Amino acid sequence: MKDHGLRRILSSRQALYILAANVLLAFVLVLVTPTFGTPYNAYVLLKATSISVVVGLAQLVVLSVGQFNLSVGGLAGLATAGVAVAAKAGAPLAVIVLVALAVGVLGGVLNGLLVAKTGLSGFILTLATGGVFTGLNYGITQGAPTSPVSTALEQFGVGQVLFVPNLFWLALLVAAVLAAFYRWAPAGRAWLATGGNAEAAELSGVSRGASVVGAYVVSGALSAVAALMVVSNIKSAQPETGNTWLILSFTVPIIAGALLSGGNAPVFTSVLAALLVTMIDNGLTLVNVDAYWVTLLQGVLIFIAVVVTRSRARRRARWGVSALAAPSRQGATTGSSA
Amino acid sequence: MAIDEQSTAAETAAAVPSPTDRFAWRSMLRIEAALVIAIAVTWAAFGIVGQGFFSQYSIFQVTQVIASSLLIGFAQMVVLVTGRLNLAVGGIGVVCIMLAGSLMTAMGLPWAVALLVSILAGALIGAIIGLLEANTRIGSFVITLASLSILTGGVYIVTRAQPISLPADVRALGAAGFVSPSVSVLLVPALLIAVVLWYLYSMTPFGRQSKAIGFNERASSTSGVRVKGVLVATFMLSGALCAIAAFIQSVRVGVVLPSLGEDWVIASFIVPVLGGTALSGGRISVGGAVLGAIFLTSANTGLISVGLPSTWLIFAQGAVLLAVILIQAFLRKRATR
Repeated sequence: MKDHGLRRILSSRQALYILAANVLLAFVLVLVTPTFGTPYNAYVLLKATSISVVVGLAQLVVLSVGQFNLSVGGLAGLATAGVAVAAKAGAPLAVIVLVALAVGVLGGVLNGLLVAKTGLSGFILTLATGGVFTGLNYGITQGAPTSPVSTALEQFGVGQVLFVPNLFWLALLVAAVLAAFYRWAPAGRAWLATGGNAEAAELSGVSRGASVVGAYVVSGALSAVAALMVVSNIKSAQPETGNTWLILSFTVPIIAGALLSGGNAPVFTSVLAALLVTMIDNGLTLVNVDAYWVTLLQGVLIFIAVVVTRSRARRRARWGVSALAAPSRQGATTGSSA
Repeated sequence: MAIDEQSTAAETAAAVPSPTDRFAWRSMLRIEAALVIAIAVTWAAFGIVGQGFFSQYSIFQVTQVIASSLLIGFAQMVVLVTGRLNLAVGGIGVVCIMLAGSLMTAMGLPWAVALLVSILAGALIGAIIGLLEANTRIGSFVITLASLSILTGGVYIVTRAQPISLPADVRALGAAGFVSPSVSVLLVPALLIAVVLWYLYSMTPFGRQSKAIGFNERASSTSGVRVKGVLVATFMLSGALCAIAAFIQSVRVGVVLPSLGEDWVIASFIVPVLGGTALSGGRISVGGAVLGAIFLTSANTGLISVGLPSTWLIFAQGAVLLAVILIQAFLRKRATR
C-alpha cells in the first residue's frame, strides 16, 4: 500500500497480465493483418475503447459499494433522448451536455434513493428502472434517430491531440479523477468501506445510504458521458444507444478484477481491460472472423480472468496475508488495487 | 453469493426453515393476495376500457404467452431458491431449441424425441454450470454471465444466424386449443410443471434442502445437507426448464430464431420475484410465480388493447413492474414488523 502512482498500478498482477495480453494481442494482429498497425485503425480502436472504458467505470463505481446497476444502458439511452430533444430545440453544445448529464444524475438519484430507502437489492430495482428509462427514451423519441446534433460535439469526437483521439483523453481523464477520488477523497474511502463490509463501516461512522446514493449518481453521470461519446462518434442520437451494454458493463470490471461483493475499485486496470475487450473485437473484424466469435471469446476471457484473480487470492491467503479477512470479504483488506 | 439482500432473519434462523415460520407465510400470503387483487383489477379495467381484451383471440394469445413466460421464470426460480442466479437462461434455451430444431428438420426425428434430447442437453449444460458453481468460488453471477456469452456466441457461429422453420405438425401445436379453443394447449405442460415443482419444493427432501441452502448455506452444510449435489441438481433442473421454455416459445412463433432468449434475463427474474421468491434465497412460491406470470401478461396485453402507442408500451411495462416491486417491499415490511 506504500507504493504510489505507476509503481502501484504495475504492482497489481492483474494489471500486468492484462497489459501483457494487450501487447501480445497487438503484436499478433500487427503480424497477421496489414491494417491493424495503421494510424487510422489505432484511431478507430482508441475511440471505441474510450466508450467501453466509461461504460465499464459506470458499473465499477456501483460494484465498489457492493451493488449492481443493470440500468447503465437504459440510462444512457434516456440521456441520448435528452440530447435529441435539446438538439431539436437548437440548443448550443453546453446546454446539450448539461441536459444529458442532468438526465444521468437524476436517474442515478432515483436508483440510489430506491436502493438505499427500500433496502431491496439494487439488482432487481435497477432491472425495473432500466425498463422505465428505456421506455421513456422510446416514448420521447418515438424510436427515431436525430441528426445532426451539434457540429461542435461532432468536431470534438473527430478531433485528436498528440495523435490520441479526444474521446480517449476524456476517458483517461474520467479514470484519473475516479482513481484519485478512491485514493484520496474521504468519500471514496467511505465507498470502499461500505462495499467491503457495510456493517463495520456503519459502526465506524460511514453512512451506507450516502455511499450507495453517491455511487449510483456517479454511475448515472458516467452513463450520460458514455452516451455523449457515442453521439459525438456516430454524429447522431440513436435511441438504441446502450441496448447492448449490460454484458459489456460487467465484462470490463470483472476482467479487471473487481469484486462483485464490493470493496475494491481497479480503475486503471479497467481501462486496460476495456482496451483488451475492444481490441479483440477490432482484431477479429480485421481478420474477417465472424463477429459472433467476439461474444464467445468475451465469455472465455471472463473465465480466464477470474481464474487468474482467484488463484492469486488463494496464494495470498495461503501466505497468510488475508488470513484475518472473512473469505468473501477479501476486498476489505486489499482495498483499491490500482 | 454476490447479491446481499437484507436477510436478518436468515442469520439467526435454523438451517431448515420450519413450515410454521409465520413471518414468511404471512408475507407470502399477502403477496399472493395482492397479486390476485391486481389481476382482478387488471381484468376488470381492461375488460371495460380495452378493445377486445376478452376476445377469443386475445385470451388464446395470453394463455400462450403465460405458458412460455412461466417456464422462463421457473428456470430462474429454482436457482434463486438456493441463493444463486442464472444469467445464462436465454443462452441455454437457444442452444437447446437450435438442437431440437435441427433434429426435427435435418434428421426428421419426431418432435417428442427432439424435445427429449434437447431437455437432456439443457440438463447437461446446467450440470457443467452447476459443477463450476459447486466446486469453485467464482460465483454464479460471473459463471453464468460468461456462459451466456459463450452459448449465444456459439449458437450464432454454428447456425450462421439462420432461422429454422418448424415442421407442420409442430406448428399445429401452436394453434391447438385445450378443451376450449381459446385456451392454448401449451398452457397444459406449463401448469403440469408448476404442480410438479410445487410438490418438489414443498414435499420432498430436495426442496427442503434447496431452501435450507438459500437460507443459510453454512448451517445447512453442517447439518448434513450435501450442498454440492443439490446445487448441481438445481442447475440441471434449470437447464432442462430452459429447454422446455424455448420449445414452447418456438412452437408459439412457429419458427426457431437464433435470437431467441435475448430478452429472457429480465423476464426470468420478474416472474418469480413478483410472486414472492426472494433474490437472497431460501424463499420460493410456485403459486406466486403463476400469479405473477398471469398478471404481467394480462397487463401487457391490456395496455395494447387500450391502444397505447407501441413506443410508450415499454415505459408502461417498466412503470408497472417498478410499482409492483415497491408495493411488495412495503407489504413485506409491514408483515415482518
